Amino acid sequence: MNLWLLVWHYLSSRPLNTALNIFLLGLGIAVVTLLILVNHQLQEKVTSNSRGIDLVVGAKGSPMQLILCNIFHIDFPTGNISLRDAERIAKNRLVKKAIPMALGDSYGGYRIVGTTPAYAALYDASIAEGSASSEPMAVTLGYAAARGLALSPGSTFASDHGLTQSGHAHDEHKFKVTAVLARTNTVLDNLILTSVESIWKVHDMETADLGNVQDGVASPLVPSVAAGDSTREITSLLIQYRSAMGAIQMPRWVNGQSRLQAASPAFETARLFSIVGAGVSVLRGFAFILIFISALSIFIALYNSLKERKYDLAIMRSMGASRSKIFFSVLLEGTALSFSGALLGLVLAHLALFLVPLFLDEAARSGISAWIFLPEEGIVLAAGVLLGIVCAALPAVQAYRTDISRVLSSAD
Amino acid sequence: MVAVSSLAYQYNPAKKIFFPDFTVETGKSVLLLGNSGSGKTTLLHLMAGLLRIQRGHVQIAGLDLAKISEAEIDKFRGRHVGLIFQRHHLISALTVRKNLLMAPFLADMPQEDNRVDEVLARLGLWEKKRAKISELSQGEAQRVAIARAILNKPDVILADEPTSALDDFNCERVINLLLNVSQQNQSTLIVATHDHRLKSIIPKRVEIGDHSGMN
Repeated sequence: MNLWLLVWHYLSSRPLNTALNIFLLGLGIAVVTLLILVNHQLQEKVTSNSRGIDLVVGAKGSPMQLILCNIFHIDFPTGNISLRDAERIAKNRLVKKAIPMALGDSYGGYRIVGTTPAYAALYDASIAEGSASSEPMAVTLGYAAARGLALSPGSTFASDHGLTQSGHAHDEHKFKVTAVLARTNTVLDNLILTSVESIWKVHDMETADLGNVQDGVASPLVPSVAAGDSTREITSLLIQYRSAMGAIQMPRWVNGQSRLQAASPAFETARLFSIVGAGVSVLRGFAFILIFISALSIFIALYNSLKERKYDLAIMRSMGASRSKIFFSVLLEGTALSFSGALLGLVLAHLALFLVPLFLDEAARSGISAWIFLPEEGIVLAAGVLLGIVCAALPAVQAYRTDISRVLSSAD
Repeated sequence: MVAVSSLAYQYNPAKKIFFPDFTVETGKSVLLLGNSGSGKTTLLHLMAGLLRIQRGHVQIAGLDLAKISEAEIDKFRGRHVGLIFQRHHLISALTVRKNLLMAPFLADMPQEDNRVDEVLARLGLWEKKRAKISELSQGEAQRVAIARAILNKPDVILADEPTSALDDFNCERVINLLLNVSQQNQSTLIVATHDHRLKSIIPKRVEIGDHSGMN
């Protein structure tokens, strides 16, 4: 016999009560842990996806929509801007790098992005298979897109118009896969990259002079067309500033132009988190109520079992157990309960992150992993155990103080 | 040897119990006789160290219980005293074997399976070793309680009304068992009871109640 065995026998002698207590605490801890895990990973995703992008310039509309669409590729485009307007922004002396984006088509639910090689370079993407080509209609697939679409270099496909799978297909123009990127753990993994010219070609905007810059200068954004082209359009421009001065002057300058709008990823994502934060607070409050109820339940369970066990405790004392041994046995029981509950909670949280993406494609695309363990989880575990100690403290003190002589003589 | 001298216990100012002086030699047995409320259980609890001694002395195994600390009394009780009650008070969450192992565990003594087997065999409980307490009959449970009390080979076995709830047949069986095991262990047996059937079996007796009174 030892204290652990004794506690184990006591807990397993009322299996339903014990299971309920562990499960209740586990649920509360799971929600808290889930919030911590998701929040942490989302923050990390947001930072890594908007890395190197200081400003997004696009058509007038909601600035958050502009960010969600052009950086995270989850919302719809605000509209188009003319290539000529975009060039004027790109040539500003405060701009270090300007990357054109032409959006609007997709294939099998994965978005097609017409851009330049500089876009993939933002995420330090390297090519895993094949070789990238700047030929029109050549595409480079993100890691997850290649997996999800089961495409490899050499495959061809016709894109769907629009960002949903129900759009009509551009059957007359086939894309050809020439490369697949290595995993970057960013939004790039879910994209299909091609040149801006390919997008134009699909949408029948091709004119005779494409790839034929004869007089004048080539466009700084799409070198195959002449600068100042008034007919072509793109969706947006991703901008990196040359200096901190850009952050002060650029947004005001861009927004002053009637057809354009500028949105800062840092500002908009902060705004997004503060909106989502309200929901997170409600969930967190709910989790704390669950934990509080489970703490109460553990306390009541120990307190009640102590009444039934009054004779057990007295008899143990009569067999030579010291007061402190009795005290620790009750404390250990509470701690064992809360430790199991907290551990179950952590397991449940990771299990949820593992299972949800199997059934929900959107969750799978978010790239949230079940196998990331944070130091905060250790704190959650410790807090759970501490909770058990606090709940067991009063019953343990009561067990400590039991007047064994009175208990034993009242029984006979 | 057990020696009680000038012992008195006061629960409240209105009730003070005085106990007669007596000694019991090692390996002998004695009955503590008295009516309900006469203080038999109080005396037993004083001898077991379950109540602190307020006045007088109890000497067991060379120790004066009035003079040692509470922690030492716990230790003393675990090693030198075996307690048996009218009800068995076994821990129902544990099996028979584990109930017995609680005795050395709580007394911080080595837990020997051999000793458990030996005691169970002697009390005819061998096949109940792995049984749950709820599966035992009343008589078996009482024997398990006796087995637990003698497992640590105590110097003194203190029994509080061990037979009051039993019929004549079981009464005789239990008291003979107690006498047997205490003789085998060379333990002193002290039985507090108002059960007059025991008088013919244990001749030596101490009457409680003559000396008690209002004070």
